[in-house]
Amino acid sequence: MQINYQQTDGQLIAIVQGRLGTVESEQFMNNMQPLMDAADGTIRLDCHQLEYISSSGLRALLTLNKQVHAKGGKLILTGLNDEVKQVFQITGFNSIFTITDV
Amino acid sequence: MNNPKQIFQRLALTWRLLLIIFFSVFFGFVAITIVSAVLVFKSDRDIEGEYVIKLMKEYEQRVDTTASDEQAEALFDLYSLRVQMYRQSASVLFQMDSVDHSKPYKVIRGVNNDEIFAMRFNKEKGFLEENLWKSGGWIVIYHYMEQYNQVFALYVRNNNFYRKSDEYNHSYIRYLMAIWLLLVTIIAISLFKTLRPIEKRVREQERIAGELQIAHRIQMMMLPEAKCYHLDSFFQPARETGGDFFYYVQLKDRMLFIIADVSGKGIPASLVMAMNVSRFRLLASQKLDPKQIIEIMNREMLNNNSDGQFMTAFVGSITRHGGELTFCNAGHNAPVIVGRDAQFMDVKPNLPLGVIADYEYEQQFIQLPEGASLFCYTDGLNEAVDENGNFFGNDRILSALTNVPPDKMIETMMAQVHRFSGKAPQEDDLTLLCIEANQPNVISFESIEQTAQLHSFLDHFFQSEALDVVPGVELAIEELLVNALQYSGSTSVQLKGEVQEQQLVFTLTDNGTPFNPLNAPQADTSASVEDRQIGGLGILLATELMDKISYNRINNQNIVILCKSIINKPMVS
Repeated sequence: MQINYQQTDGQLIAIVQGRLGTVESEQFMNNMQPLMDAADGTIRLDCHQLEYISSSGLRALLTLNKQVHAKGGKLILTGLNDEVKQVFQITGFNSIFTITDV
Repeated sequence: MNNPKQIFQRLALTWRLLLIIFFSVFFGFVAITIVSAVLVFKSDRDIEGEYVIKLMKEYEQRVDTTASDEQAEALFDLYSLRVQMYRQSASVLFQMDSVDHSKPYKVIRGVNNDEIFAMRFNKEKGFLEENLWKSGGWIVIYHYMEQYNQVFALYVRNNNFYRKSDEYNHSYIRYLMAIWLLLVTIIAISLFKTLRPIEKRVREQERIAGELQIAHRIQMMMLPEAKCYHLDSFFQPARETGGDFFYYVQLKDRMLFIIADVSGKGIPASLVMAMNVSRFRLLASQKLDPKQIIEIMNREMLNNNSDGQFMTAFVGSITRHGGELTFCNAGHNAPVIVGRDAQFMDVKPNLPLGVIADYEYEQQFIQLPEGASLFCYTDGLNEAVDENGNFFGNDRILSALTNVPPDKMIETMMAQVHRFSGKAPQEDDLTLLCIEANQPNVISFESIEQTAQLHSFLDHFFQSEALDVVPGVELAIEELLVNALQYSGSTSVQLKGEVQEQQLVFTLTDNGTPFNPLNAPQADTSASVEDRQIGGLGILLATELMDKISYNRINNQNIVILCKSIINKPMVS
């Protein structure tokens, strides 16, 4: 699991690579500070290279989303693969996250 | 430790220390030189004047507390003498004339016939030697004492001798200064000239050390993952890089692996190693037999090999089911089969690679007993030395492996080697490779961290069952596995994978307190972001992704069974 950050047009783009299973999500939670700091603006989470997500990964994303809502920012998830998309559908997370294809 | 890296680091450290010492000494010289120059060229007279004023003050303080005329006089004598002594220390010699107490003053004659008068006078009577006072001398100590109605003074008649002595002092010290500066310059230049090449050499060594670190990282990256389901390994070059390596390539029905040792150590050996890693990867992915791989690698090694590098290697092909091992040895140490006991495999040695181009290597076959493991190593293990130069040897290898579970073999072996070697340095590259043969698809998890191995376990499971990976299975198992590890309080959760009647059946067994994951509260999937809770999501995912999940409590164990049909799932052709 790896996150790379880019700052474009006042947006923070975080490119998530690899897996977000139980073990990796813990790392993700520990390294999420740049995202939490940017919660008052627009954060675009590029998930084209996100291979796998478990409920722990969802928990990490939910924590981030709550922070964004509290601070009046915006969180957009892009490029989810079919398997990851299915996880969002089953859990109803697709209704609380802004998900786009591009 | 004789590790070259450490020696080098010590050398670089010594060099830095030297440099620091040199510069502190040099700047010390410069500082001393500057200070002495200031001292020399600053007027002597100022300094003398300051000192004499200090003496005067001291005298005043003391004379105020004297009780009698005699004591005051004695004090006056003492201080006049101290002023003269001070003048003496500035290289001017004075002689005391015989003291005539009947006179109101004392005459001290200097070497150049300069005269210093220590004199007293009465306030009413005025100066006894008024003409002297007016002639241009100066009073060094002057003090009026009310109680005696007398002024005490130390009087210097003229100050010729100052000039004379100053010139004398200055010329003498100036010579010294010139010599001193010259010396400092010569020392600085010569030190600079000697130290410069050393500095260059140290920089060069630092560069090489940096590159070796990078080479080490690159070499580590050439090797496959050190640990995966049913395989464990260890690799440690004696220097930054080494000539040992292992590699494995998972094929559909079997795994091809190699363990090898290139002659020599360090960079040359690692270059040969790098070439052979790529050759093996290429040949193994073409699904060749060990004998074919060995023979092609042998010929390749002899092409353009004028340095006479050779390599010992053991190449094996082990089936996923049944523990059938086909292998070809090229002068490498015989691996150990660890089952109920540990024993060396019966292996035809053959020649190492890179010796004779058309040598025909003999391929062998062995059926490994059920549940047995194959332990391969390089000669860095049996030839590890202790502080007295004794070898670790074959017997210690066998005894270290006996009755040790496969996933602990490498750990146990390394602990034994470290205990044996003590403070003796690692002389040779060391590589260990442990492969579990003929294991049913079972794995145990003892911590959340170990769940990272689930992915490679399932990979292996689907490959061994000749199935495409079924999506969602991994997620469902992970959720229930993590639940069991977190909530049942068990120390170990076992996962078993099977295919029964066109169904995938995964069984999770733990020995914790009764815990039925299916009774956990369902997540409310319609709540808003703020109200959304994370609990229950895992179970929701698992039940959605699998066809059926059941829970049973049998023999004080929690047993969760996950099923998913594979009908209509395409078989791997």
